[in-house]
Amino acid sequence: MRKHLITLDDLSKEQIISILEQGKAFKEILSRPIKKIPTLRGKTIGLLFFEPSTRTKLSFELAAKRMSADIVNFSASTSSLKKNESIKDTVMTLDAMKIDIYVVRHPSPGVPYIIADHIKGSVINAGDGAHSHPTQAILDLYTMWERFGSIKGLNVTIVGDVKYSRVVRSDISGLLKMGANITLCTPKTLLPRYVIDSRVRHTFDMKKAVKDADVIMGLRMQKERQDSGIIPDEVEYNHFFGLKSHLLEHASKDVMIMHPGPINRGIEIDGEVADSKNSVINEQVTNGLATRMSIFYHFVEN
Amino acid sequence: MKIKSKIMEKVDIFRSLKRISHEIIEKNKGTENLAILGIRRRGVPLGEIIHKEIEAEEKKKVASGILDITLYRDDLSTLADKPKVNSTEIDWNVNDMNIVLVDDVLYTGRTIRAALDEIMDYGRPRSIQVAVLIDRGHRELPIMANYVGKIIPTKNNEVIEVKTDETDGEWAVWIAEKTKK
Amino acid sequence: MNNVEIKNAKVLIGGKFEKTAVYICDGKITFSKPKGKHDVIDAAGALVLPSLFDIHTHLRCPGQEYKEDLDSVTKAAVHGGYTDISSMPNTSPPADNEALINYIKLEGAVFKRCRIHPFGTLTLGSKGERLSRMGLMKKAGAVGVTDDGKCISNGTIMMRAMEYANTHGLFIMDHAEDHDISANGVLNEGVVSEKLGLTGIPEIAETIVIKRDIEISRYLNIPMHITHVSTKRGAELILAAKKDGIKITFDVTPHHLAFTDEDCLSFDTNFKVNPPLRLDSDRTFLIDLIKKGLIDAIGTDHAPHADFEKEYPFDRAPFGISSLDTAFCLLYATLTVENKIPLEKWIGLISSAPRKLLGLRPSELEEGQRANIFIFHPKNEWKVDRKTIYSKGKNTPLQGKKIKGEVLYTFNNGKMVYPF
Repeated sequence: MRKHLITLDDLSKEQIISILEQGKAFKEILSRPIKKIPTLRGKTIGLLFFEPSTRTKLSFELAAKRMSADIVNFSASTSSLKKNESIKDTVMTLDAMKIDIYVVRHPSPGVPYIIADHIKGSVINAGDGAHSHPTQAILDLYTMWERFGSIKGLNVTIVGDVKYSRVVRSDISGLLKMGANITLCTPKTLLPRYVIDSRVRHTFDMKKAVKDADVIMGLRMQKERQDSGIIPDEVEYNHFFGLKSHLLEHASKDVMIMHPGPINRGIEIDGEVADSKNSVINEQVTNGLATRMSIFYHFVEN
Repeated sequence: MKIKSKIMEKVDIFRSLKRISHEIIEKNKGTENLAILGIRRRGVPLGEIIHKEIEAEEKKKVASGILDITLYRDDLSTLADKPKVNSTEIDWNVNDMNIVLVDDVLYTGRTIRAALDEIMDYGRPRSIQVAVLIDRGHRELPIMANYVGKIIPTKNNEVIEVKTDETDGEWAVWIAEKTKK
Repeated sequence: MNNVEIKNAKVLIGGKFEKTAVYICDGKITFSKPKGKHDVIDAAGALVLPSLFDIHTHLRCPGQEYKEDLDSVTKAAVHGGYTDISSMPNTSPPADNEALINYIKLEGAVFKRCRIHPFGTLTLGSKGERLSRMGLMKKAGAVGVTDDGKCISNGTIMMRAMEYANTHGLFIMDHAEDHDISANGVLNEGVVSEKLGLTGIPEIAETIVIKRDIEISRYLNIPMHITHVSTKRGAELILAAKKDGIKITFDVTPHHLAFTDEDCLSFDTNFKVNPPLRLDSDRTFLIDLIKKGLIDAIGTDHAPHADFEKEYPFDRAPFGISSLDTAFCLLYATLTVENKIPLEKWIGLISSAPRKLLGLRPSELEEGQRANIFIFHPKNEWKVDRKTIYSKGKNTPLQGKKIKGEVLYTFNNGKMVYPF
């Protein structure tokens, strides 16, 4: 049966656990001298990136290559987006080329659904506007699961640009599904005005936010936020809401520092924290590759 | 599925494995560069027994590991449900090793084909040998076993079920007949 | 023109349904059988109703005929039971001078289906800067003025425009939206917008302007009409102002009575409309006001768009619902079937009330009146699809759905204008 991964709501808790568990097997492959398996031989994966992306695209591309799939790239420049090129026409052309899995990134929320309506293969959402980024959430869950063995009861603190983040939306959805406790710490202008789930707490005090945290996750602060008057400037933001090394004194010794990247050193996270032994930021990149392989394996249609 | 009869008891299985272990030592002139690699799932407990037997007999450490060939199967796209992927566990360098693959039943040869491909992705062993508890014939690929517990001629609609303590709570080999749906 | 007998139907006369035959004789209504030959319509099970008046229609012409033209919009209107529509001036170019008002009146009359009562802009080009030629537009036949689609943010200009419009006795309609607050919003700000990662339009974008408009109306003592009120809070503010004696009126749209922001969860752009679909608590509050008779009118805000435009992603698709074909059926399903409000209690909101607001001659279903009527069968089911919608804009949330209640015939001045 054809399946899509557009938001984490497309997966049950059991399916998430299955992807995490099997992710371990894929991570092992990445440590071999020949990091390639024949599993997706003969399958074609289309990478449809309607918005610039380096890291996520690279991760998907490498995951597909590690599994011996053929890859076709479709990157629409922003100029053709402005011409309002029809997404429907674009994907119908691609579908005539018999692609098995579409990895889609688009600046507009909901576009993966439009694409799913017009193609025969599976759609994996690689980020649609501020809506959803399920594979990032799965790699984040994997990183916590690998370290702690279970996510239930973990205290996860999220700092940074919550309101405009697709990563946070997906992370919160996944963490709640797995039973973690979530605390957000960010100024009110970067918090959603309407809380998605009453189980998510927030505070404006970083000391409190890090105190009992097992995991602290930083989010990239977009530069445009200060231009649009959402924060005064980066200096003030860093002063009150930056993840600074002295704050770690208040946190548990083994607290795990995560960040989906790319990081803004000295804004949402200090260099010392990003480079500390608590940081798993680079490990997340490896885990992203392993979990995306696991996701391909789960979502390729037979 | 219609159970026909029990072919081997626990004692028969262990006797065969002991003989295979001795043949492995003999063929490889000892245990130097030897490694025992069990294929998931039932090759794993069988491999462990052989591994223990060889270590006890030779009083030397011998490398061992587990191979999961799921991602190398050639029938993935024909299966309705995706089989669960487990980790392969090889924490030694395969280069120049004499690797003995252990599995429960040798049938079409496709599992061994997948295992050979996977091992090659780890490096270049000196040799790869195959040990199986049961060889039931019906090969679809030019593959043979170096060590065989028992050769059992079967019909295509028959099934050989090897039960191990670890996976099934008992040691036994059964032959059964597939009933038509 | 042949005279017509409509028999076996229930006829809405003086606010009550009566089972009687009704005749159209020389374009006029009569209840006594005329002499000579006449056509007979057996309307068993159907209702004979006064034809409808829409206070808020986007014609799209001149300038955007790919979305809608005068042929298609007049077809959609009479298919929906409307014989009169008020056109919004935000065309391309905007109707900010007497020439365009003349154009709409003359060209619209060509099709002889329904009357078009044009609105002119308050300001030149709807730019909110200089006043438009409101006096000459009125002379050419404009019934009111509005910068609909936009909202004059500068209080001084708004006050001057109102004073000048009032000088010429023009009906003033405002689209209440603070554009700085709604900014890039594409649907109601709330749990749904947060979930979808789409920028929301907060309730306050509407209510803050309603509050301002009330104050301006009070201060200048000039009547003003707020169109497509979508929020409970906005309606509450207006009702309170009315109690204070401020001359403020308002209308709501069929879609704000029928749908909520949760309908946007599927990213269906046919639910993208401005003002946005709000919460169920807003919706039920507005329905309750209709029950209590506290709403002044219902306007469709008919906003047709081309298919390809509504195929854009949700955040880039244009706002609007194509409404004229289905507005009455949707209202009937929502108000009468779902909420048990008798038809005779609310039909005035889309027939006599808008005429009264605009100061036009009433058109009642009475002996000797012009026969502006339509026949509606409440039990007939029909499928809304590309062929059964006559508007060029197929952008209705009802697309592909079956709906109960069908317009069978529409008569304009005694002439059958639907079916065509």
